[in-house]
Amino acid sequence: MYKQESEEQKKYLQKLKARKRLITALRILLLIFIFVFWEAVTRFNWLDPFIFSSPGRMLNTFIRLYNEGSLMTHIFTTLWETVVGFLLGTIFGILIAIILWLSETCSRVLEPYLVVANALPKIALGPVFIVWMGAGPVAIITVAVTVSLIVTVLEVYTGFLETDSEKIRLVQSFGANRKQVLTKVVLPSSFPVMMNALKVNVGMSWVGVIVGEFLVSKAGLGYLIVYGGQVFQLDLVMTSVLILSVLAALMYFGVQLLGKWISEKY
Amino acid sequence: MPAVTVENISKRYHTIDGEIPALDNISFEVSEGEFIGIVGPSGCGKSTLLSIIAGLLKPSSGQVSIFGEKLTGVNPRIGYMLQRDSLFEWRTIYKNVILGLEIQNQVTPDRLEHVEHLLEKYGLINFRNHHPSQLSGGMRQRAALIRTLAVNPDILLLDEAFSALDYQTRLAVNDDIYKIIKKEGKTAIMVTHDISEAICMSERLYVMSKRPGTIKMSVEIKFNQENRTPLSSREAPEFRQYFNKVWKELDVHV
Amino acid sequence: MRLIRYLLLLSLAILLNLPGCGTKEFKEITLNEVTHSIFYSPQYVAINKGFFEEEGLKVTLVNGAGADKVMTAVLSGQADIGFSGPEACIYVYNEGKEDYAVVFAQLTKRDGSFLVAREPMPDFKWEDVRGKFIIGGRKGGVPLMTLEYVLKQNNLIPGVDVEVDTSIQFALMGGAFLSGMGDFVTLFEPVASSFEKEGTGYIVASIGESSGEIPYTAYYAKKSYIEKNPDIIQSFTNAIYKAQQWIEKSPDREVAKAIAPSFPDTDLDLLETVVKRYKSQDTWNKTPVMKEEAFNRLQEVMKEAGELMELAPYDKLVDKSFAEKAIDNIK
Repeated sequence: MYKQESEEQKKYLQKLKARKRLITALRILLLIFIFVFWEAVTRFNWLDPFIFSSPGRMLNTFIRLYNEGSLMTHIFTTLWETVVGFLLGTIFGILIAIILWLSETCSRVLEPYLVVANALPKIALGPVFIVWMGAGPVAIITVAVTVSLIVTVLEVYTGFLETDSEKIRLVQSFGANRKQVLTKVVLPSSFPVMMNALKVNVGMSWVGVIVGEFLVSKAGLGYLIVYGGQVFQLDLVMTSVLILSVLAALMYFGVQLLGKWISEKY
Repeated sequence: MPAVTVENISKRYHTIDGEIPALDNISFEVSEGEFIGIVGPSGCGKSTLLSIIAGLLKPSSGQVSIFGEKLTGVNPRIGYMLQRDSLFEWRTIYKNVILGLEIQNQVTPDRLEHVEHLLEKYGLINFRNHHPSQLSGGMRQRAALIRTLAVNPDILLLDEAFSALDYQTRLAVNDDIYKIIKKEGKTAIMVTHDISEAICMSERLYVMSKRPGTIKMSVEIKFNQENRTPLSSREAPEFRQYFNKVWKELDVHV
Repeated sequence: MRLIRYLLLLSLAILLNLPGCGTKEFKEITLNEVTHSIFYSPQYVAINKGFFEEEGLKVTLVNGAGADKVMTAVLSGQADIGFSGPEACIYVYNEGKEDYAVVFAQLTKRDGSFLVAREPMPDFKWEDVRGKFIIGGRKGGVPLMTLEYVLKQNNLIPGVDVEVDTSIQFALMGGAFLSGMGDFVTLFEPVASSFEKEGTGYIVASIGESSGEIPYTAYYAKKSYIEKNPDIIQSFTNAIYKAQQWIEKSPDREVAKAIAPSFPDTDLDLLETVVKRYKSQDTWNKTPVMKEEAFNRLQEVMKEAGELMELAPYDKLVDKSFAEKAIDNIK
C-alpha cells in the first residue's frame, strides 16, 4: 500500500463520493416529485382522487388507523405470515434441492413433476387449501410457501448442478464422500444462487400472503385491501399497498444485508 | 518395492454409439523417489491413465498397485495435482491449503505445523489470509502444490499441472516445483504435452501412441550435471538429442 | 308463376335482413351481476323469455363476483348497468365520487341467504345459535350485516352470545363449512339446496324471512350514463317490470323452465324447489320501484353494523321515475 496518496488519487475518491451523493439526492428528489405530482393532480381533479387517492388522503388514513390502534395489528399479522412463509419456503426449498442433488434417481424421477408444478399457477389452489386446512393463517402461509417453494427448489438445484466440476474432482481426489462434496464445494459455491433465490422469495411470499388474505382473513394488509375495496374506501386500499411496498422493500434489503454479512464471515 | 506398479491397464469407454478404446495394455513401474514423465499426442489417454492411477477411474482390465497394495479407489498416499489450481475463491489461502486435511480428517497440530512450514518455505506465509483472486498465477500454483503436499502423500501425480500458466511463469514454476518435490523426496508421475518440460524434469520418459494409447517408447534421461534443475537441463547439450528422439517418436498429425 | 312468387319472397327476405333495413335496431349493453343465483330469477326470465329483446336491448351478462367488483366495472365504464346490493352506491356516494351511481330499479326485497346447519333442525329458533359458530361472510357486505341485524333482533350479540366468522371470501364460505369449520353457514341458492341434496347441510332458517324487507339487489348506472341514455334505462326497466309481472302470475314449474337455460348444471326439480321457496318468502319486488322507507331501512342496518356514519339522501341516490313510467307503460 502506498503511504502517501497522490493528488490524483484524492481527486478520484472525491469524485466518486460526489457522484454517490448526487445519485442519492436524485433518488430522493424523484420520490418527492412523485408524491407532489400525485397530490397536485388529484387536487385539481385531473385524476379522480376517489379512484387514485392522494398522498394527503393516505396520510390521514394512516393516522386514523394508528389512532384506532389497529395499524400495528394489521401490519404484524401480514408481516409474520410473510416471514414464516418465506422462511419455510426457502428452508424447505433448499433442503429439497439438496436431496435432489444427493440422489440422482430421485431427481430424474421427479424432474417432469417439478416442471409441471412450476408451470402451474399455485395461487389457483388457494381455495383448495382453505377447504383442506380450514380458514386461517395456516392456509395463508401454505399459499405463500407453495408459491415460493418450487421456484426455490428449481433455482437452487440448477445452481448446484452448475458447480465447477473441476472443484468436485479436486475434493474427490482427496477421497471426499458425497456429503463432503456437498458441504465443502457445492453449498459454498452455490451461495450466490441461494441468495438470489432468497431475494426472489421475498417477493413471492408477499404475493402469496396477500392473495391468501384476499381469500381468508380478518386482519392484515391484504384484508384492508379487500375490505377497503368492498366499502369503496380506496384510500384504505392505496395506503395498505404503500405500507406493503415499504415493508417488502425493507425485507428485500434485509435479506441483501444478511447475504453480505454471511459472505463476509465466511 | 516399487512405489507404483501399473499392470496391463486397459480402458474402454461404453456409450450408446459403441465402445471406444482409450488405453490398451499399459504396464510400467515407478520406483520410490523417481520423477517420471508421460508424453503423447492429444487424445491418447494420458490423463485417463493418470485418473486410473489416482483411483478416480476404474480400468476395464488390469491392476494398479501402490507400494505393493492393490488400488481399489482413492488412496491417501497419492496426491493429485490437476491442470487448474481450483482454489476455492471463497476460502482464504490458508483455508484452501488445509482443504485436503479437512476432508481426510487429519486436522491435527502436527499436520498444521507442517502446513505452516510449507507456507513459510514456499513464500506464501504472508498471504495466508488473502483470497486466491489476489494472487498471481504462479503463487496460486504454489498454493495448490502446498495443498497437495499438506496431506503428506508419497506419490504425486501431475496432470498437465502447468498448462494453465503463461510461458515465463511456467518456466519458473517448473523449477520451483521440481525443487520442492525433490527436497521432500516424493515420487512423481507427470503427464504433459510439453516435450521440453517433460525432458527437463523427468528421469524417465514414456512416450504414448495415439488412441488407443499404449507405451511406444521409454527413454532414460540423464544429464551430466550435479544438482540438475529444469532450467539447467534445458541448457545441457544432451537436451536437444532427447528432444529429437522423442519428437520423432510422437504420432503427431500435421 | 310459382317461380316468380318464390323469387319475390326470397328478395324480400334478403332485403329485410340487410343491416339497417331491419324493423328493429338492438342497443347492446353490458350488465354486470354480483353473482349468478336463482335469487335473481326475474332477471333470467327477462333474458330467456325475450323481454329485453322486445324492448330493443341486447344484453351481455357478466358475473362480477362481488358488489365492489360490479360497481368498479360500472364506474370504469366496463359495464353499462350494475346489478348488486345498493349499498355499493351508498358507499361510493359517501366517499365523495362526483359521477356516482344511481339506482333505478329494484329486483329483490329480502335477503336471499339461508342459514345452513350440519343436522336437520325442524324446530329451529334463532335462540338455537347461542354459543355456536356461524360463518357469516365478509365485513362490509350486506349478507353479514343482515345476519347480524337478525341476531340482534333476537337478542343475540355477535361476538358475545354467538361467534360469527367474518374472514372468509364469499365464494369460499361453502368450502370452509365443508372442511369442518363452524356449526352454521349462510349460503345463497342454489348452493344451500345443493348442500341439502348432498346431505352435507340442512337449511334451518331464512335470513330474508327473519329480517324483514330490505332492498337487497337493484340495478344502477352512473349518473352521467343515465343522463345520456334515458331511453336505454327506460327500456331496461320496462323489461324487468314485464318479467316481474310474468313471474307473479306463473306457476313455479313454468318459472323453473324459464330460468333453466341460465342454470344448465342444476336440475329442474331443484330449480322448482328453490323458486317456490323464494316466492313463498315474498322475495321479489312486484314493481321496480324502490321505496324510500326500504332504502332507509338498509341504511339503518348498515349504520348498526358500523359501516355507515351518515345517511345518504334517497332523492340523490334513487331515481324512481323510470320504474313509475314502466308501470304506466305496461298495463
